[in-house]
Amino acid sequence: MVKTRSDALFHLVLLALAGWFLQQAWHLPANAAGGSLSPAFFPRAISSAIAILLLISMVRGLMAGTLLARESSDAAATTPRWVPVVGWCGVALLLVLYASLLEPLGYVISTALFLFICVAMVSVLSRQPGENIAIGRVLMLALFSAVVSVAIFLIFSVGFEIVLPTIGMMGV
Amino acid sequence: MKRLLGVLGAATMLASSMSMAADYPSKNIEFIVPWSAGGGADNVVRALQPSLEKALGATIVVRNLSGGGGAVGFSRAVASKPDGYTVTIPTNATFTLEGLGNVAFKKDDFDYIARVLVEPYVLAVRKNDAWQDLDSLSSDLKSSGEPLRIGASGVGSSTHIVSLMLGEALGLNIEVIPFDSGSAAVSAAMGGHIDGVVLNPSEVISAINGDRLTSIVTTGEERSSALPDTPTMEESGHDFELSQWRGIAAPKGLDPAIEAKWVEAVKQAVEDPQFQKAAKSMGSDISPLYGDELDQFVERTSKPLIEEAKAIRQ
Amino acid sequence: MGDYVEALGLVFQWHVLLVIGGGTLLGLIMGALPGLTAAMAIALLLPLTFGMPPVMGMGMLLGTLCGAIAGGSVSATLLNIPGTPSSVATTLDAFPMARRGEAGRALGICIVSSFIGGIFSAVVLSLLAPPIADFALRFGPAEYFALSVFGLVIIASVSSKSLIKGLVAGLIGLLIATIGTDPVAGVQRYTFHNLSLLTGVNLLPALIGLFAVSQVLKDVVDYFGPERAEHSKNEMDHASPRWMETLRHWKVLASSSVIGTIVGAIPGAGGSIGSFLSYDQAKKMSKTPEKFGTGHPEGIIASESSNNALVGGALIPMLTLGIPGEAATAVLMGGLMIQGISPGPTLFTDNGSIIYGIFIAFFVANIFMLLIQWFGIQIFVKVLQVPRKLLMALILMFCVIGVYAVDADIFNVYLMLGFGVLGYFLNRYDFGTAPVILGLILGPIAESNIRRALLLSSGDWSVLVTRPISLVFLLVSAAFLFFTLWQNRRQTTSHS
Repeated sequence: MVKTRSDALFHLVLLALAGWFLQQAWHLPANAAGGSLSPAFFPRAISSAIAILLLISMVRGLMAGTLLARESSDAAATTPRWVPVVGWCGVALLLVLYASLLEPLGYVISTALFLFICVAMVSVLSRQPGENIAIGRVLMLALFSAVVSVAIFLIFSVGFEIVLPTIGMMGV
Repeated sequence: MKRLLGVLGAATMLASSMSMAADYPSKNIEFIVPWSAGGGADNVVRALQPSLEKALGATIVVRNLSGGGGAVGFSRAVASKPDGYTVTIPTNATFTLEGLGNVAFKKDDFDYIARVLVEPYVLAVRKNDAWQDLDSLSSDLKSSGEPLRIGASGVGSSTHIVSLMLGEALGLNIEVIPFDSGSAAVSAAMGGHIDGVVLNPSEVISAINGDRLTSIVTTGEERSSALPDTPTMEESGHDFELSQWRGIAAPKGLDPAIEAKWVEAVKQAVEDPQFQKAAKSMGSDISPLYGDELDQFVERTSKPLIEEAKAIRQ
Repeated sequence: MGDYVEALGLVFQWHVLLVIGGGTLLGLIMGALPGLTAAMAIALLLPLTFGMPPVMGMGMLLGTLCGAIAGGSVSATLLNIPGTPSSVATTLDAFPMARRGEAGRALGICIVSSFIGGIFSAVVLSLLAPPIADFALRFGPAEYFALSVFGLVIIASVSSKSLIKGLVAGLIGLLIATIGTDPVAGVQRYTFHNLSLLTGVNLLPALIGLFAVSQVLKDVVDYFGPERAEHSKNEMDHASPRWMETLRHWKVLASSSVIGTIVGAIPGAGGSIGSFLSYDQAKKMSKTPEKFGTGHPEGIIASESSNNALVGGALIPMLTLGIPGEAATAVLMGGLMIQGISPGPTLFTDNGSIIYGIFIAFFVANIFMLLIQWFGIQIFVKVLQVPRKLLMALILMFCVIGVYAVDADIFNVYLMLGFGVLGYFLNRYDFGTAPVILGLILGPIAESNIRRALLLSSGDWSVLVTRPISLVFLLVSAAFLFFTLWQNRRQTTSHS
């Protein structure tokens, strides 16, 4: 994996989020009717508690030396280090695209595209040097994506009566 | 020329709308239920579904869009095309949501097709020998000076608002405790953790029949068929009438011809014995209303609810 | 007695048995798909029941419910996708066991435990429903708050690696749970005028994001890692119900079934935390608590027997009081009412043969659940033989459409993706995701009930200790917290 001081970084990200929630909670009404707790009480108490615990955790991590430790790199890894990172970001990005195209393109088209690109991307990234991309396998994958998305669409919409997004052409 | 085009345009529009109305329905109809499956509104739609499908000659697809306590589903319904292929189930929540100010739609953004069921709100209290009816309840509360702690089905729900209105109308010191659902409020009242509830008969009927709660008064025009022994507010000498209702509405701009088809279908559907049996066991009264009468009803019911909901918001 | 004989006649007809079996099968399939819930499966079949006699219709719906709960455990075990909050505890041990090549064993234990938990709750339902319902009614706001505190203590128990980080994760769940319209005053918190957030963060996208999506994101990284070679060999152990192995842990089975049934009967709270409570209990009683979370059979047994016992438990307040505890029983109750039968105390006196018919149908549904899974287990494990890169893409697709199907709201899909990324990092830095779910489930219960309790007592905190049930829960919570801390300490010292 990539060398980062990421445990510390993640603590800081969470700390920032807790701070943001706390700051927002300050705008909530703090007066409570009937002697009960106010709407602001829980958000303030919880975000403060998170911040305090994160600070304790960071101090303990510093003392134990784990917080700033660089993650061990996999010396035995055959793939370059950037590959998993690219794969991870690629899948995450693809998911966002899938979600944003689900309604405009309809379920069947967007799903077929998602399956095809997702599998193709992982395959290409994990390709061993010298391996060729066989055109037959690409076609197989395309067929698989299309068949799966149509089949699932039918099962969901006809079988389970769940309304999936369509573009209104030929029932898909 | 311009005029000719205008006339032509109007004629084609009329023709297309006529042909649309003539072969309506030609595809599946989406029935948006803005609450999750198993809620009161959902039960009504699912009980109506078979007979409506038969009367309309089309498949109805029930879509539960339960976000935001009805806000998401109603907003989606308002935003869809008024072609009769998207309908929803209006209730008092349609009005309270407007009053609470969290949604962009208004009650006038809907074309109300029919009122199907009504059920009054009922004030039911926990078992207490001093609380047999409205008179004994209010005299006991006045002598003790204690507030009456009433559970409602959610903050800003119509039961919450009606509880407050009832307190004003009866001159009682009612303190509303919002619960997460009507059944949570009923179970708290049955366990004696609160004094009572203001809910619809369907939610309290089991508790009343099981002799765990006592019904005091209902808010309907007539006595509820589920609670025939409980007097209405009018009968008890208070000028107060407000009912929960469930009907069918489409987004504003529905073709009158299509609306007429729906009205016919609803008229047939409410005659279905299976639906009548279901309505009875749900504690609702079948009380269909269409056209102008319905619009008057909507006007009369929505006004106090929207006003009171606005007051809660502040 | 006459009612029981009549009821047997109502259930044991071939067409009644057939629809119960069919309902169970459909429930199993829908429960195994992420996002499709028991409530949705029941609502789908509801219109079909209108034309059926009540016992037949209810039998089918009960079969669907049992099947959906069991189906949720299949995907929890094989793919780390808990279909319902109640199968989250199952993922803690069943998924690690499946990952090390013992998927057949994990499922085998699941099947037997589910069956026993389900049958136990059916017995309790038919014999002890009224007194348990009375007990459930004693839960007022103060008691619910104390129960949720009791549940929150479990965070300490499911955060195995670092207690502080586990607590942070639990608090993150609690904080996210405050998003939405505040339950008592109606104030908007962190909603930013987004309609989808008015009633808070939907649990299902959070669940699927934190578990399934985060797992796939991890798998993507691992796919390129050095262990890649191991993934390609799809060794499969023998897939069949593990009767002896499960029954050997009869103490865990018994205590978890009892906890599941009773907690399930408490409306609104029980459904989601019963299996966590049982898991926690099993870990405390165990001689080897450190094995929990690594693929330990006791963990699976505790969670699974309890999660199916919850079903029978949840039927108790629904049938005896007319109070549905959660979504699935609410749809079930709707089904009863559409049949013209109002649940509640009168059901027992007026419709004796029908209520006993429903009890018997529930037994039958549990037996069908066992039989279908017994034959199905061979097919379930085949899922793992799908090439991994295809499987990852397919899981993500099912997650997206499942979450979309909940409310047909694309916002929920983005929410799920956000939770997926959050979950990935929480796992990577040992915070864990199970505590987040506990916080999300318990946060609203804790907050709304303490505020209600204080409204009712006019601000007097002593209600929490003057009410016996509440006091007991709080004392036991404190005792458990110290016990867990002590257990953790002993573990860490013995390690070093």
